[in-house]
Amino acid sequence: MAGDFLYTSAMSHTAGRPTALFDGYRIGAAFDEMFSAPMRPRPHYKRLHEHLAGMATSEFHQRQQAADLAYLRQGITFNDYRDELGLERPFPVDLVPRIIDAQEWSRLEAGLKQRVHALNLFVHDVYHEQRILRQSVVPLDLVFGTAGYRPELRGIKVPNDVYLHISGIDLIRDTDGSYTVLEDNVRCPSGVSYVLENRRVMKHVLPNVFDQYDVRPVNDYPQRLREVLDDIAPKRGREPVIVVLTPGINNSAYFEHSFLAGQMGVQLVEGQDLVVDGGLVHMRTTRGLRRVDVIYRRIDDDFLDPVSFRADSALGVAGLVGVFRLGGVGLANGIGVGVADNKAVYHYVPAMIKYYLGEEPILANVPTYMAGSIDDRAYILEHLAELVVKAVDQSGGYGMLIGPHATSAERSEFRERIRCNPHGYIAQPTIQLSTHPTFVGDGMAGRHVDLRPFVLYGRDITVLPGGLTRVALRSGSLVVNSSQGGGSKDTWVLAGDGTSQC
Amino acid sequence: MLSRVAESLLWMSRYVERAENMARIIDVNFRLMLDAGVSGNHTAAWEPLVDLAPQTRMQFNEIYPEITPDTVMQFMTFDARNPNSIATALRNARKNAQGIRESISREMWEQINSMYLQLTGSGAFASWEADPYEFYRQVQFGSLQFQGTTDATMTRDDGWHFIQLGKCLERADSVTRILDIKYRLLVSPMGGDSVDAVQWIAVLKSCSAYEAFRRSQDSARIESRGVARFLLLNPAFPRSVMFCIDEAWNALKEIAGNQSRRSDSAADRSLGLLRAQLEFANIDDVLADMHGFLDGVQQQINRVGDNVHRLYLYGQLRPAFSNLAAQAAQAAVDQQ
Repeated sequence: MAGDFLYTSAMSHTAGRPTALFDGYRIGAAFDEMFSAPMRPRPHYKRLHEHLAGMATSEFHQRQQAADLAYLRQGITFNDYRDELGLERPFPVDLVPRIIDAQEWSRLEAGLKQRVHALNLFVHDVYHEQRILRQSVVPLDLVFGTAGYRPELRGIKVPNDVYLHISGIDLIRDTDGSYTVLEDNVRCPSGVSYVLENRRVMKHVLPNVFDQYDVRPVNDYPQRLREVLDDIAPKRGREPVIVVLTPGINNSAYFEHSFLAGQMGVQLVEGQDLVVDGGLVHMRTTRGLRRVDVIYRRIDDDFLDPVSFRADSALGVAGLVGVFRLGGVGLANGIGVGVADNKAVYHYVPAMIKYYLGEEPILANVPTYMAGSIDDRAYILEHLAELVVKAVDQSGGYGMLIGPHATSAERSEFRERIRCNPHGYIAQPTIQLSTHPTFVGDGMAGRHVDLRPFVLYGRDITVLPGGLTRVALRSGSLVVNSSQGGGSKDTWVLAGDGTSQC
Repeated sequence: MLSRVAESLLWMSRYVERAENMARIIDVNFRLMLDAGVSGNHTAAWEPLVDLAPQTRMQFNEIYPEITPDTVMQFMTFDARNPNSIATALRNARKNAQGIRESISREMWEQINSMYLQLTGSGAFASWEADPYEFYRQVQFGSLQFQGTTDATMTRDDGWHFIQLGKCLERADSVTRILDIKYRLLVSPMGGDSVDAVQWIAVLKSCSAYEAFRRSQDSARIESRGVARFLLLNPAFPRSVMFCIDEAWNALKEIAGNQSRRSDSAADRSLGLLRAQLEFANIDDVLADMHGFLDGVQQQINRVGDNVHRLYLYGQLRPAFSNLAAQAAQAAVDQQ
């Protein structure tokens, strides 16, 4: 019966003598997470490698199928918008975990906290004194000229001055292995549900490997998130009523919305479930209206409130922004935080860190050329074949040109677009993302990965020990987005250095 | 409980029950076909299925040239254009469940999702072709398993009661439809007593009622009076109309219980009326105009559904936008 609807991928089954998983594994130009040299695993990967090397390809294949089936059964899927039928696909999980030792993690953690701290101060500044803009540390037009800026929020006090309750910072590793920030996601970063589900499935499918490491748990994330949300409720002397606001089952991240609501023990609502009445937000229940204190919204600003923003939005709640401005409801993340994560402002985050915190940035940026500046523009147009060009206000792998892999027609299309709207584009050198052994059906092969850790900002800033390792499943591909054929891996942050048996 | 969630729970439950009942009806017909009785006249045996709900006959005629066991089975089992096919019911059940995953247990969701994947997925048609009997059995067991899972994992709050309400109304409705069809068929001159008995056994089996009927006091002879009385009025058999309406009544009482102002609502009144009608029914009166009686019960069940909807669920509050789905796709696409 199970075989009837197995999620089948293009995998070949090797008959006869069992083959070893790492036969023929090659290290390319990129930094390899597991190996420092051919067949020389890094110290913290050593035991994982030993375990896997002793496994037959066919056995691993079976476990991979078990994991895929579990995901399909549980409906851990995402929707691809370009798929006309609206089919859900299981989010592919690769069973070779990515491992980060304690020392490396503590540096990452410090860097992430520092970055989110500065970004939050930036958002607060933009909606209040605007010092950083007046002093031209960040150019005015990168803020006021963009869709992320919401003048409705000028001078509005938010609880504890926190705007970025949940953020996901995308990190990559260059050829020398140094971690670099690729992108800040501070509006509705998604993927944390996969972090938790990947872990659950890994424990189930490869318990023996798991036993050998002292892996820090991730499953308290929903509770921590709930505490953050509790904190931004208007004070009322009773347990706050929290909801997760989803655009609905057609949204690609719907699984996650539902998952988080369930794990936090709060209600998942759609816009049609909420109504503003008497200056407060309520949900419609079988017993009449019930007041809502905090909304973890997974809907962009544009759709949040047809009165304030897009008038044709059927997903939002009319009057919600007004209630928020008067402190009648807590929102996570805050409104107008898009000013902090457009791809042009990204360039100035190291400067923000120095400006607000007086510290050197712990995590570096990828060098960025701003098409809006004349010199940079000339450079970009000249070196289009080597660069990655990104539209400032898009993400998810959309609106992007990867120069070395693009056709000349695509390049000339982007050349034209940049000329017409220079402020809308930035460019970065093509970076070799690190590779990680990934099961490809007949053994292991190196595939490019990135890392999205999740940062919570409540009373203080905490980083979930782990994160979503996204992997580009196509050979040679650098695009890891789930919407573009990416998968994911469980990410193990160790309590120690991973070399001693625990 | 959110009105939307309550509504989805109710419909999730109704659709699972619908799939199960449909599978029972087809299954029994299929097996009947294998008995000698009606082998000569397939149309007579399968036509009534197409008439189960008023709109389906039109739909069927548009798609299929003629009534054969195969066309009817395909139409009732897989056809997405048939609003009452098993596949449609399972798809709708899953869709409702998907929208409220956090309000049901993980096990309930997995059961509904597995059922959907297995019985409507790419391998479903082949497995039906290979063994239809087994296929319909899977649908029935899937539904029973879902009910057991629900029973064992769901908190007895309003959500539970909405699930029970949906299940009972759907089941009562479907029993009246099965009776109605067979009754029309059987009172028309079609065969002797032996055919009658075979047909009535089939009716009982399609309600999983054969053994229970045999153990009851009515069982000396298998003829219309006893079967109708058992399926309509038996207070203890879980698939009789009386029992279902009684359970629905209990569920509605529980839902209304904590909000006394609603205890004599239109929903309660319409259901109470139906309950009294069944409780005090005289089987001879019923038999005198069986079709009229069943039709009345069905209409009253619809009325209850409408009243529940108006009182607890969305009613007139649903937004009139048609572009919800398209917007939902865009609304947070940016940070995947």
